[in-house]
Amino acid sequence: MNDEGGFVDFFWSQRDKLLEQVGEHAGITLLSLLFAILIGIPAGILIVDRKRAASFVLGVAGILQTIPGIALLGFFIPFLGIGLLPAIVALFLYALLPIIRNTYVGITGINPVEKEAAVAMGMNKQQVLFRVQLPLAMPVIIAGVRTAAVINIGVATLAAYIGAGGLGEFIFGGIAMNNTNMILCGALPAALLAIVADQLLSLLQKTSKKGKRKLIPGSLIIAFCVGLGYGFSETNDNGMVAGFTPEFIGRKDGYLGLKDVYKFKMNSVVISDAVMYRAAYEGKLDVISGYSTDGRLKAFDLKVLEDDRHIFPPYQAALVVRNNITRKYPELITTLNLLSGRINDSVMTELNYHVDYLHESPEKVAGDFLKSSGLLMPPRTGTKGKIRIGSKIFTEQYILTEIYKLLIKGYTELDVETITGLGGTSICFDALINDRIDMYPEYSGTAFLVILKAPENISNKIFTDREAVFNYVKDEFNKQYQLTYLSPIGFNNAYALMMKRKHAEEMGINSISELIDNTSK
Amino acid sequence: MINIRNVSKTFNGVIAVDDISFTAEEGENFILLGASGCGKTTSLRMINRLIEPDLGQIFFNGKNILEFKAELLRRKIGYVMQNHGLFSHYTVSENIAVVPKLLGWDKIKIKKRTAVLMEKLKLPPEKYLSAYPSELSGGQQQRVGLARALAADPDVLLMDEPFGALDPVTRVHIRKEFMELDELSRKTIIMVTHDVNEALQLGDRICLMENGKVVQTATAEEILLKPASGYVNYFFGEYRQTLIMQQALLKDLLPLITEHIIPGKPALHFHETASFSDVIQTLSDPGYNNKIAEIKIKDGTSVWVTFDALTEAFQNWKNRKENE
Repeated sequence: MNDEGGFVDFFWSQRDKLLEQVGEHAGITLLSLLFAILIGIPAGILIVDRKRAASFVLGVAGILQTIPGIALLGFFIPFLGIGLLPAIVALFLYALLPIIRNTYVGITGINPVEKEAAVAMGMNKQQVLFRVQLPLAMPVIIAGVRTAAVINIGVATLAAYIGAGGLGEFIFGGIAMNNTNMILCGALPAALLAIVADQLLSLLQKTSKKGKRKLIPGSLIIAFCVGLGYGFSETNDNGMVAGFTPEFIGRKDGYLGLKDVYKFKMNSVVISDAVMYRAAYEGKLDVISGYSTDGRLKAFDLKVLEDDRHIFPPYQAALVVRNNITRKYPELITTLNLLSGRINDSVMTELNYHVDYLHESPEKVAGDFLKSSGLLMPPRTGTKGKIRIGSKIFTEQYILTEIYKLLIKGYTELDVETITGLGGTSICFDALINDRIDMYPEYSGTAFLVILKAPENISNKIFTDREAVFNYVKDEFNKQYQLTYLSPIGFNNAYALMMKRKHAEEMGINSISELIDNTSK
Repeated sequence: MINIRNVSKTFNGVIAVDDISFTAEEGENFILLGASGCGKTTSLRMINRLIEPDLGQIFFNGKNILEFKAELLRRKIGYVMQNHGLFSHYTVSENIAVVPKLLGWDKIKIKKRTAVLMEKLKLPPEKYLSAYPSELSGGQQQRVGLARALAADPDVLLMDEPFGALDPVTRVHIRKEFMELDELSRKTIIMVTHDVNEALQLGDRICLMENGKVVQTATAEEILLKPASGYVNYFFGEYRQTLIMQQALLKDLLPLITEHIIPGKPALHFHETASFSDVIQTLSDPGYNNKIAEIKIKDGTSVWVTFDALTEAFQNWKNRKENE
């Protein structure tokens, strides 16, 4: 099958990176597991004869395990930054519960007669522990370590969210780019790693039952040395660090373009969109990728670097409307075009910020904006007909929908129904061409690549040319789908590199070229 | 050797042991006998400080056991548990070597001692040295448990129902082996049991307990024939008569026989070390009408007696003992 062949090819082409990621993945898991063993087993032993402490410790470890991974990692950024350290700490916390619990259950579960025999033979507390309790509990303890290892190999994919690498880079990159081969390239080795780890530990579990108990401390010591060796080899050299989302890393109009066109050479890590902005704000990352109108730009006081060599394609926002509507209500076009060129990147960022960070409603933000631009008019009768405006499922689109609603109601006799939160691009577009909605805001780049799937010969030629792309979309929409693409609203929600404003100003950096010059000195 | 003075122990307000005193002399087999919950096991476990008494003192070789560090005391006292209590992760030899190892013996000495003990307890080392307890039969497990208690050659051995978990056939068998074991003959043994037969068979002296108190401490014969209280009679109960008959050996009865009959008549043969109980059991067989016994004496001669004459002698023996 086509797909399978594709996978093998992809797999082979990525083998170096894959090997590196498997190494990182195993290293992170191993180190965190070792620390969990070093802390968890003694903790489990200490609570054996202390019932209240036991329920407290097991309770806390249980709660730790219920915290979602990404939340835990986000929580650590102010204290531990990004990269290896917070990843290992988080995995360590996840591994604690099964290890503490199994140590506790393993020791409390041994035949009381054997413990009594140990005491009666004249063993002191340490001797009872090390000669009888621990060896007898060892299979159960190792079962706990097995559980922890398998959990950790799974959760370690999240390490890719905070720049610690591992197989999550492939998995999340693949999800972001809708590339099944890439997802499999991360998921299959991760699953394999879990199986191998589980089997190796089960071997240890068997030997612990039958003699050869000395294998256990031995293998622990070996694993510890390997893990530590890995930990030291991974410590980053200093200098500026860039953090990019998995999607950005894999895209031609992202990291690959940065390398090709700008000769970008900075140390870079893969990181989740959810924690990236905060990490930049906390100074853990010097440069990040992001969207140029994201409200977090303002919230975290970040500065967008000018794309002076035009690698990021234009994503100009404009309303796409069904032709039958524009024919039926010609007055609508003038009304909708009132917004043309009115909202630039920083205005859109500001509006997003008001909703996302000041928690104002999109209706209020839309009204305030129109009032300050002198466009707000009291609603008219709304008796001539009903217009349905759709939106995708993110803040910016909600705000635009509300602005258009107010405009239509204020300048025409039409009524408006908003159908918001229509998921992704294809859902919105399908709704439009199937006459479920009459209009929604679409981005030129998205329409060009995702909806129209512009052929490569055209896209290579005009991809970074704002106007050419916009005109191509406008023509094709009209030709293929009988849709009208109105004039651009003004802002361009595209990929951008950004830095902490203070940091950028200190270094005198305004554009990506200046950033490259600055860092290559 | 072991001297218990006015010892009491309460668990959560329930009195387990109530002001007991007894002394087990050197080399003696001292039996703690009683029904379940009478405090006999608690008493035993206080001797090696598995339980600390609330009141009273215990002396080991004249020295208060509190003067020893608990684990050092325990290494001097062998302990045999009811359910063998072997370490399931240790082999037979490792189990036997536990106490010598704690005492810091060198490896060669431990190896030799283990082999000797295994031979004596009929566990051929070549076959069982590296076996795990789970691979052994109940009787074998109990023998390893005994070997472990004997390994460091302690002067005192505490045994908590050592045959309690065995089936009746194995139990009789192992008990016999124990009695024949030279290792045990020199030791002071304090053994807990609820089995009257076992107590009478193994004990030099028996200490019968009831509700945490000592009812009577005496030899087997004395406790049967001169019970200190109604409870003693009650405890030995319906077995008492049989037990007394078991205590009455034919050689003790021979001097009391008044009426001998002419040798040569067809008779059943008994050795003089057999008990009156053995004779009764055989002669009371309904298929045997003759009721004449030929008793072989040590010097090779024999005496012919009728069953009736033997019974009369037993009654006299019993009366005499009870009035002694």
